[in-house]
Amino acid sequence: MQKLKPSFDEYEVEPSPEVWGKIVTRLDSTSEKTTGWLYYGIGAVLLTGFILFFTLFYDVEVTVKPKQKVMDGSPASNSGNELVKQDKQSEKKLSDPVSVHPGISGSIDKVQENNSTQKKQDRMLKADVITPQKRGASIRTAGDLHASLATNKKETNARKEETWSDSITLIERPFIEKIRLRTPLLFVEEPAFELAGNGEKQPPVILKKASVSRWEASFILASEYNYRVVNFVSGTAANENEKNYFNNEKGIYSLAWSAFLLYSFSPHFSAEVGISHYTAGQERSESEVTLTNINAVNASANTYSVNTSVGSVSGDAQQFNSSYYVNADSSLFNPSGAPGFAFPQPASATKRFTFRQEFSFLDIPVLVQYRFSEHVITPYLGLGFSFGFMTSQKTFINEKQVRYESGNLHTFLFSSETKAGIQYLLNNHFSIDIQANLRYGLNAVNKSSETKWIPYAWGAGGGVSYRF
Amino acid sequence: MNFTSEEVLVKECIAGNRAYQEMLYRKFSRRMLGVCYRYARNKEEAEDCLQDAFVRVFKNLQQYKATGSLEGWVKRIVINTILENMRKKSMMYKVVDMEEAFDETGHDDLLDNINIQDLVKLIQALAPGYRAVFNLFAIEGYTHREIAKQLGITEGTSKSQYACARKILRRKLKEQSEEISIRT
Repeated sequence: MQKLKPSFDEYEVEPSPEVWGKIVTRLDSTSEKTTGWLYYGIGAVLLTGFILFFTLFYDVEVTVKPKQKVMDGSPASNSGNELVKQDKQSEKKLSDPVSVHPGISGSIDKVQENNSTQKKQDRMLKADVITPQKRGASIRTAGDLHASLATNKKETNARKEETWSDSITLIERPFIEKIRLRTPLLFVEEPAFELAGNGEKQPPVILKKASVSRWEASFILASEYNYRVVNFVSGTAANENEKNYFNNEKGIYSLAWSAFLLYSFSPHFSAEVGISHYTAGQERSESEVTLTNINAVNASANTYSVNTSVGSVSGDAQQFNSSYYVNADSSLFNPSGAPGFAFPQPASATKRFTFRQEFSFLDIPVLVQYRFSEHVITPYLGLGFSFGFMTSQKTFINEKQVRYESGNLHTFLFSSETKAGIQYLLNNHFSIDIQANLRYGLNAVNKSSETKWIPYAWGAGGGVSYRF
Repeated sequence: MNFTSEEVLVKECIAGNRAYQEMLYRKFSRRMLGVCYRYARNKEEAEDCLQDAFVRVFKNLQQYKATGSLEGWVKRIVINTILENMRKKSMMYKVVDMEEAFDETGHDDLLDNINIQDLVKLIQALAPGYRAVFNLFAIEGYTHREIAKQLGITEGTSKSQYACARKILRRKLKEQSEEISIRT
C-alpha cells in the first residue's frame, strides 16, 4: 500500500470536453456577479448619501394652526409671512451667546405683581408659549402685550390697563412653529419668547445654554491603505527603466488607531489634538536582486541588495535565503558553484517575491473640526496637520522579516490630515463615530537627492466618543 | 526580465487572459481529474470537483508564490476542494460498520488483472471517510497528524480509518485474485 504513490502520480483521466466550458461560464458569471454587486453597492451608497443629505441639512418647518391665541391689535408686521421671517432672524440671534437680556424678564414680573388680570392672561399666554418649547420648539407669538412692558414702568402700567382691561380680545391666528426634528445637545439655546412691540424687536430670552461639557474624548480604529508618491528630483527622473522598476510596487493595508481630545468653541467649530499610530509602506511583487559585495571565503556572507523607490535594502545571502525559502541552504542567493562565484549570474537578476517595507509612525494630529449640525446624527469635517515620529522600520520578504535598518531615512514626517465622518449620539455622553480619513505627507521619508518618497494614506474606521 | 514559460502562464492567468487559463487547464486537468477520481464515487462527481477546483485555482492564482511547483500548488487546491466538498455533503467520518464499509454498488465488475484503474475503482467503492484517509495517507503521502489537522479529526481516528480501509482493500483484492485464478 505504501508504494502506491509513484504510480498514482502519473495516473490521468481525460476530462469530458464540456468541463472547460463550464469552468469558463462560472468564471464569467463570477466576474459579472462581482461587477453587479459593485454597481448595487455604489447605488446604495448614493441613495443613502442623498437621503442623509436631505435629512441632516434641511430643517423641516411645520405650520401648526390655529390653536395658538394671540392678542388682537398686534403690529401689522406680525402676519404669517412676517412671522416666518422673524423666526429665521431670531434663530440667527440664537446662535449669538451675547443675546441674553435678563432685565426684560424682570420687568415682566413686576407687571404681573400689579395686575391680577394680567397675571391670569399672562399665565394663559405663558402656558401657550412655553408648553411647546418644552418640546424644544422656538415660537413667535404676538408681542403686543410685552411691548408695553419694554418702556418705563408708568407707561407700562397705563398701557397694561388699557390693553388688558379694555380691549383684550383673544382671537385665533395661525402661527408658525418651527419644530426641530433633531435633538440639540451641546448648545441648547431655546428662547422663552420674543418681545416685539411697537414695531421694535427685542432679542429673545435664552433659557439655558450648554447642557453638557464642551470637552470630548474619542478613540478611533481605522483600516488604512498606505502608499507613496515618488517625486523625481534629478538623475533618476530621466531613467525610464528606473521608473518602470517602480511599477511593481503597490501600497499596503494596515491598522491605525488614534485617540483625540476635542474642545468645542461653538456649535460648529471645534479643535482637537490627539495621538495616533499608523504604518506607512509599500510592497512589491517582483524585485531585482543585485550582488553588491562578494565574500570570496564565505559565500553566505555575500551582500545583496534590492533597490526600491524608498531606497536600497541590503542583506547577506543567509538573510535573503532564509526569508525567501525559509531555509538558509537554498541556492537562490548563494553561489551555485565554487565559493567566490556569486549567484545570481550575472551580478543581478529579477526574482519574484513579495518584498514589503513598513514604516511605523507615532503621530500627533492637530485639527480643526467643523460640525454641520448638532443633532443625533452629526456630520463633520476635519482639517489639520500631524507631526509624526518614525518608531520602527521593518522589511519583509515573503512575509518573513529581514533584519534590516536604513540610516537613510528621515525620522520626522509632517503631514496634512483631512477627515469626514458622522457621529451618532447614543445619549448625552456617548456617541459612535464613523469616519474616512486622508493623510498626505508634506516632507519625504527618504533622504535621497534623486527621489522624494512621500507617503499618503486613506482609510475608513470607527470608534467611540465620550462627551464629558 | 527573464521569465520561464510557467511564470508567463501564471501572470497571464492572473490578468484574466482566457487563452492562457485554458492552457493551464489543459496542462493539469487530466492529472488533476485523476486525483479527483480517486476521491469521488464516479466520473461525474470527479468532474464536478475538478470544476470547483479550477475555478478556485484561477481566483486565487495571485496567491501562488513561485517557491514550489505550480502543479503541486494546483494539486493542493484540488485536494482541499475535494475535502471541502465532502464536508459540505456530510460524507466524512460516519461511523461505518466494518461489513458495511465497502459499498457494494461500485465493485461488481470482475476484473482480469489488478491494474491501477481497478485499484481506483476499489478505492472509489470505499466509504467516503475511509476513502479520504486512504488517499491522503497512502497516495498523497500525508502523515496521520497532517490528515487529522486537515480533516479536523484525531490522529487516532485517522489511523483507525486507514487500517480499516486497508483491511477492506486487501480482502477485496484477495477475493478478486481468487476469482481470477478460478476463471483461469
